[in-house]
Amino acid sequence: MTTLNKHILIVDDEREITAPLATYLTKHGYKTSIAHNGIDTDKILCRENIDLIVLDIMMPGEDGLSICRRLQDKKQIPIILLTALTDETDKIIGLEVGADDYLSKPFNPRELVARIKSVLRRSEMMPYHKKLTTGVVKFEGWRINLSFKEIIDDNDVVTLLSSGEHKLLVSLIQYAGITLNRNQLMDMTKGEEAKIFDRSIDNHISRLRQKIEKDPKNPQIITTHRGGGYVFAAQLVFLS
Amino acid sequence: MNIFTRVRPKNLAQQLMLLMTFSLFLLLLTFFVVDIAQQKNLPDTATDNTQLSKLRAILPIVEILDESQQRQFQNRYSSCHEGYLITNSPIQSTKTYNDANKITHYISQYLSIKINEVKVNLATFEQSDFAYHKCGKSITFPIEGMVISLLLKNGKWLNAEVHEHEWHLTELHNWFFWLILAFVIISAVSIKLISYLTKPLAELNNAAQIFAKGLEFSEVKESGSPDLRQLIKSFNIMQKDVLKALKNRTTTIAAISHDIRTPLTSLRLKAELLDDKVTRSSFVESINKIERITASALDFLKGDNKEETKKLINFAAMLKNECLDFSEIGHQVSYIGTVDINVNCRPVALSRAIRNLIENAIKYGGNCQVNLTLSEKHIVIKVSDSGAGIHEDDLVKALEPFHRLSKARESSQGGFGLGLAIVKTIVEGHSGEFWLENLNPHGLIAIIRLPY
Repeated sequence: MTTLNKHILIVDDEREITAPLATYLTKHGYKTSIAHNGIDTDKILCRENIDLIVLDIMMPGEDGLSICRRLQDKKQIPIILLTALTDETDKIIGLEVGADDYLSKPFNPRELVARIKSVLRRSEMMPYHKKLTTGVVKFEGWRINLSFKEIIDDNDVVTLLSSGEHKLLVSLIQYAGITLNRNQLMDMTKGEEAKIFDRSIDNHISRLRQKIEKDPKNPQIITTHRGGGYVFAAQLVFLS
Repeated sequence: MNIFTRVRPKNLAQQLMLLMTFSLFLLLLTFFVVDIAQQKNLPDTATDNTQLSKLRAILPIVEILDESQQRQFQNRYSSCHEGYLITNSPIQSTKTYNDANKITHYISQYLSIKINEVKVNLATFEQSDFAYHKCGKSITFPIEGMVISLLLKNGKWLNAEVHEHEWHLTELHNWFFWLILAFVIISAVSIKLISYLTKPLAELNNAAQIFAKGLEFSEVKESGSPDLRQLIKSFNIMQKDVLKALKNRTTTIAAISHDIRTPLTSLRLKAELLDDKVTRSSFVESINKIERITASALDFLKGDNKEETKKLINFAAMLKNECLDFSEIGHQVSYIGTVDINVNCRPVALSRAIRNLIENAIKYGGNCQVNLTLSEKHIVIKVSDSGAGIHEDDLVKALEPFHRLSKARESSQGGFGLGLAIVKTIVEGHSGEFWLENLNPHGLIAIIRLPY
């Protein structure tokens, strides 16, 4: 297994969580390190070659969001955020500061492992790309703030997107012009809620097209590539 | 009954208006009655001071006038109300009058003249008599009256007519006129003035309704009379206190629900490390249940999160979205509705409400139909299932927090009695209404009505 060599850093002030989590991840073949605050995190990052960080948001001292923001500026280490809050706004902030995924406590450890795998695979498979998770972009009469799960038309009418649709659209926008195959899209969009596992990428694409395409049967924004896969083909304007 | 309830005063202004009009009406009525009571009969009018003192004043003057001057006096001085006629002999009447002597006596004494120089007779007057031709049309002839005849020094008689003061129809009209005028003036003044005075009350009422409906603080401006100001002040303080107490409670429960997540996560991780599969899965099941309880408690406390900003939302798309989320994972959920409407609302909260209803329908009815219609002022969202429905008594109770219906509905897939309460809070936070109805022959329908 490729996971054997992967080194995960667990950052949480709660020893009650870090210890069993480290044991669990070790059981699944990962090498683990533990930090309980920002300073420890920096020390370990200097010393070790970390592949992924599981980071708790709520910590005394420097909190997870701040660590995440700081690390994002320096290195491209994938980060999965943990939080005890379930609020949408927290998720938005989490993604804005550059986290790759997000899980709320109490999480299913199996799901965490699934996410770790998916995030790691993504970072390997995808060509290096600056994470585009914030800002407003415009295309074909639509406006989207990438951190919100909604698209807004020229008349300021809001159409809501599901988590899956949102992730899919943001991924497609991030890699605009590049064809992404189903596996790549699957990696980028799965997670969040268990039910998304059960849906196919095609389903999501079809739903997205229903919402944003003028003629969903003859899509202009998200087009299907001959060899399989989809590409965001519309003209993009970055507003901020 | 209907008319009575319709004209019954609906607010303080109308009540006061009615009261004032009624008292004025009573006042006018009193005047009216007193006036009628003061009405004099014929002998009283004849021996009335004003009547006699007038005669006493006239008599010496008429006596020194010559014949032509007397005629001039008779014509000029006579009017509808007092008529004089100078004749050679007193005007006699065929009618016998029993009190004539008494009146004659009284008049002779009053005027200090001999009793045989005074004659009193009853008479029936036509318009041609005396100066009645000067009267308006409002008096109907003939009228009953009396003639007082006084002997002048030149041997002629000065006849003065006396008639009862008639209660004329025109005067009755006047009363009505005054009454209506009073009503109109009082209405106008009281509507203006009293609604101005009671304006703080109306504002207080509005604020109270808003507060009752959405538990939203709306400060009422302190105005009006001192007692009203005091009331408004107390109301404002009450609003703040209630909200503070509510917030404290909410924060406490939220903190507990929140803090419990860390030990739960720890437990969940440790459970996963257990070797015994049976123990592990029973551990995980219990942990999951605690997690769901805390999550739904948090959901309920968040309710209609006022911090979420309102946006113009493509409503049909939002409903379709929620339906698809369920139908795509194999549930029987269908969306019916051809209406396309944009609604200004808090989308995250409202989607949660819709989701709760769909979940309930699937859980207890096995299937779900979501329907969107428009009425004149409302959008109506109906979420129905074809399950067994619930007991009529429970239709309202089911909306209360932590109210769980029969054991049969409380299955291991487990609701915690908060789902519908959350919906209710969210809908009411949008100034809407939410209720349940049983379907015929079976099934349950949840109806949300929102203003737009």
